[in-house]
Amino acid sequence: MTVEEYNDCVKQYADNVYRFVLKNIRDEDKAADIVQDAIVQDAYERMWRHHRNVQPGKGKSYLFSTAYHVLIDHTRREKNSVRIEEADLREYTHSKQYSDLQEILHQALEQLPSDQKMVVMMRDYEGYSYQEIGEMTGLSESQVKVYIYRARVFLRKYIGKMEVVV
Amino acid sequence: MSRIDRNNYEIWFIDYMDGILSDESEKQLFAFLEKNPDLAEELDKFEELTLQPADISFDAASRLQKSEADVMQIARPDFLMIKQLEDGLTEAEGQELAEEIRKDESLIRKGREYRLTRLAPELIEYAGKHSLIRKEIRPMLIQISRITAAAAAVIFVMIFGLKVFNSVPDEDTIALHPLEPLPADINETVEIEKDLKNIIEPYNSAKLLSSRQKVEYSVSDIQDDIKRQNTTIESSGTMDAPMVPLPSRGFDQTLFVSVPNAYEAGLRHMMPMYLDLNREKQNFIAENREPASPEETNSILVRGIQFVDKVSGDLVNFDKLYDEDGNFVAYNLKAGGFEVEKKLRK
Repeated sequence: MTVEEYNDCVKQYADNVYRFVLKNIRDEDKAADIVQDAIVQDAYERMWRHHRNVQPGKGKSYLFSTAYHVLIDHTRREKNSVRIEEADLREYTHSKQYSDLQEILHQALEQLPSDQKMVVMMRDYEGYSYQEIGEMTGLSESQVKVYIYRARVFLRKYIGKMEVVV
Repeated sequence: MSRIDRNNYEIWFIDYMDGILSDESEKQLFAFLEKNPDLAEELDKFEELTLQPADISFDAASRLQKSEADVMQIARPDFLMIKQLEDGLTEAEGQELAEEIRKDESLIRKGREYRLTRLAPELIEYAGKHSLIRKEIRPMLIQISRITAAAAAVIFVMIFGLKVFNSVPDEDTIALHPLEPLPADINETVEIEKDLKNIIEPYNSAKLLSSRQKVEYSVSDIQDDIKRQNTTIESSGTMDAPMVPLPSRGFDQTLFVSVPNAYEAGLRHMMPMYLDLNREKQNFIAENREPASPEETNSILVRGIQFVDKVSGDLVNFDKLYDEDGNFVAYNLKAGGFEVEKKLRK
């Protein structure tokens, strides 16, 4: 990857990476802004250090892979990860009436385990295939598929509780 | 194997049907059967006995098959609806889902809810994007800048360095001043008397000698000796008279007199002659002027090299070399692949 190609990656994907990080760091974290910015900077810094060895077409994957692993480490440190399938879904339901579907969806997304949440975001936001997500996260393709399917089931149940949505 | 008889013939029969009897054993078996026709008839019945597989099927086998939905621990209809959303269904799966929906119409609503689970990307802009942009000086540009810096350094040294380094330092030129004319008459007696007085008095007062060696020598004695010598010289009327050394009085070995070494003595002897010989050479004899300060002498060169050194970073290195006395005696200049080390002229 040349310097120009690196800079193209900045122009094209910095917003995407930032969004990915932003959605995976809890808003109530006091240092959320600093951490989000640091993770984006860190991802690009790592890519810059190895930019000669990164293939031009793999820039976005490299960035997301780096961000994913940093976020996983961060999540494990913060010990915020909760296994939804081991928890009662009723714990996460609420009686508020929502009219904005995306708002509800993002509420539901916040309740997902971090690994499920990230693969769903990679799938829906970035349009990656199971194989690509597997390469970026280090998970097997079938494991990625399981995460996505289980996340869909949870999201459907969550929005199914909202009377207004349907 | 033992010989065949009516007690062990079954083992022989089984081995025969399994085809593991040797030729010799088979001959024994057939001989035995000729003698026992009833057992030969029994062997024929053994050979006719075969088991036929029963035609039985397990109707619930399909229920034991596992699908991807089971691996995911998701109900089959849910799996099909999610797969329809994610990857699309095959024709068989489509028919299966349609069949499931016919059985349970609530799946229509479920399917609609699944379609809503797809996240719509938000437009979020990263404010710090511009800080991630990198710039890199191309290698060719670096090479050109190195060559330029090296060339500048070389030209600078050629223009200013030769002039400064090859010039004769001011401290090497000597300004000659006209000497005061010597007085026509030198009163050596008075001068020597003064000198001796200056030497002996502090010598005695300091009591540096032991009492036995103490000089008992007065100024008047020395004056008498000098007068005696002068009288001898005047009476003879010539300087050719042999000089008689004064008797040693024992103190000349202990006086603090700094005797010049041979080099200094030679230098003092030769220097006036050398200066007289070169008196007419104007280049050698400097004008009576103030010597230039070191800053002035090297100002152009030093400033120039400092400028090149600062601009070029590590590309051009200029090192001064000094001797033990701290004198600037040589310089070393490195610029790219060019390196000059030169000694300064004294």
